[in-house]
Amino acid sequence: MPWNEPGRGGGNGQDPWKGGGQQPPDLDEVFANVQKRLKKIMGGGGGDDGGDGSSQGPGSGPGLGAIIALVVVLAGIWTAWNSVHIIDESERGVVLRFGEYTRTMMPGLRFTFPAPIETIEKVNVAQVRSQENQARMLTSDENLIELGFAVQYRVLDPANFLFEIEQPESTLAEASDSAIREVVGTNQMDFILEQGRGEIASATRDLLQQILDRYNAGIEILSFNLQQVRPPNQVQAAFDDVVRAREDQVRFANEAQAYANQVIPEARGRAARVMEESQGYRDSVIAQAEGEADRFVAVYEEYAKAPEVTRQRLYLQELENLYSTTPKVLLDANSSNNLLYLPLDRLGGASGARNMPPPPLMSTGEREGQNSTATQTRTRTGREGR
Amino acid sequence: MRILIPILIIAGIFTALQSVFIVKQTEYAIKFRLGEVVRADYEPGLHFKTPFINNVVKFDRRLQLLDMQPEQMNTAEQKYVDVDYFIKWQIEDPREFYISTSGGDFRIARTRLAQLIRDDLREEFARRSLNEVVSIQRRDMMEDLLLQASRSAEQFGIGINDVRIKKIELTEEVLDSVFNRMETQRTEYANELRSLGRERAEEIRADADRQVRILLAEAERDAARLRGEGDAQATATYAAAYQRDPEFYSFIRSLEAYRKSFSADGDMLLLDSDSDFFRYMERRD
Repeated sequence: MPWNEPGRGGGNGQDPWKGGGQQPPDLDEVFANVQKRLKKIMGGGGGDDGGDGSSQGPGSGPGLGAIIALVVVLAGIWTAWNSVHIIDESERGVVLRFGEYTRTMMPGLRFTFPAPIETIEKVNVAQVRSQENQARMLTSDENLIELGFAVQYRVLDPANFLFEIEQPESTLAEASDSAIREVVGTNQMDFILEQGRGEIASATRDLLQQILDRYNAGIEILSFNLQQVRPPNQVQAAFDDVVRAREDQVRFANEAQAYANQVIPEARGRAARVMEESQGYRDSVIAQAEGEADRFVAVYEEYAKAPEVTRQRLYLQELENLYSTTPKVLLDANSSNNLLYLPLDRLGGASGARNMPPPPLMSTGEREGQNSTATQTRTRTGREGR
Repeated sequence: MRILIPILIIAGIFTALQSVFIVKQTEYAIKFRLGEVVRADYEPGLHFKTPFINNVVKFDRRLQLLDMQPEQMNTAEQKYVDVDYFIKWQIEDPREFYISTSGGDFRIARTRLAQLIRDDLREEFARRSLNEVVSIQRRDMMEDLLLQASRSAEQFGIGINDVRIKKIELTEEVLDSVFNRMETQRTEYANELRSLGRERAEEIRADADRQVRILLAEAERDAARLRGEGDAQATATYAAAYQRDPEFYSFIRSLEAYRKSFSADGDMLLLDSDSDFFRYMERRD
């Protein structure tokens, strides 16, 4: 059985000596020929009917020596192409001698014993392989979270990768699933969703590497990435609302700040206006006082020169001015008539309201009091009103 | 004779092949002599045996992955969960393994392992709460399981490298309550955030209103002072001037007051002919 194994090696197309890979068909042909000849030798001339190969005539073939020579040449070619290997820069060649691991060959032109003795398996160690997965898992506060993650890895130790572990890819998938769940299981949901992504990823990477090292898997984890972290669909709306609430929180404060930014400057402006007005009042009052005082002083100085005349003049001038513009009734103080008829309906205006209808008849005795009150009923327009 | 030579050659080759065997790096081999185990500790490589008397059985030596079907477990607080886990195991003693698995049948080995670990896992879950198995005691539990399982699996010639829990999935009804709780928590949180925002907004507004009040009140205060100042100064100015002749001041101020008092329409004067103004109107004397 082991003699058939080298046939495996023929199929890899890595043979440096035979670019076209023509050798296996040739071999078959050779074997067929050998068989035919053996038949001929054994069966004498009787075995001629098996000649399906029309090219091979029934004539006297080469002797046994030629056959041996052919076998030797073929064996030589076989040996050569099974002992020389070119290992690509990205690969390592793992060499087995009778199934036992002996060494790992680095890139370049390398030699081994020919096939039945030593076989070689090439492993790509440069290629970055990747696995992706997505799952829903429990957090430490018993919430559920959906994670999508990707593991990138490469073969670090080809011998371990080949010989120590069965189904390395599945093992990696299972181990990464377990590792991420373990890490997520020890963290709170909010942490994972918000700032914890990097930490979760690196903790998972470390844990995963630890697990694989324990299995001697010969795999190096290059990176563990969390591609997607989100709450389950069933509660997505509530989570989205939290995001909106956070925006609202900021917005409320901003709106209030905008209000503050509006009313405070306005109030400052109003305060300034009040100040300006009061300053204006002060200055105007003072100026007015000064003006009036100066006027009084000026008048007084002239008055002092001829007090009696001036006084009389001022008095008459004022009363003239007053009586000439105001409706009036002149009463004879010496008349014996005690009753006085006032045609109030003709006078009209505000003064009518002061008396009760029918028109009263007043005694002169009362009249004087009436008169004096009438002159004083007008509202005073004193300076203090301003 | 001519026929015999090739037959002998072929027989020789066959015998030579029957007397060697290769143990690969990934294999264990057991050599039997007519059914009896003679050797089970072969290193990888080329080994010899007696043709026709010895036969050799080989097993995969590598670490095996046994991915278990999810199992329903019950936690200490009676929550049902589906637990998904896997086992990494390998043959440690080929002879024991061969004997205990009816000739090294891996299917039998897997079934035995599964049974064994399933029971242990059930016990471990029953002793712990959900939070413990998910979070704080997950690693401890896996280590306990590994220890127990290793001890039990020894009899099969199997070494257990690892027992790892993957998914702990809540059953449908628990799931619903979890979703409800999550939703409630989030809603509470959202409400809290909004309330905090409103609180802050109210603080800002109140502070602004306070500043406005203070600004205006201070302005009014200062304004009143200024007015008072003006009034005081005006009063002093008036007083200084009128002080010269209070009687004259009283006179012209009265005149002015009369004029202003009667300046409006509708006023009517009742005049006594006796008054000083009409002194010259009646020639009384």
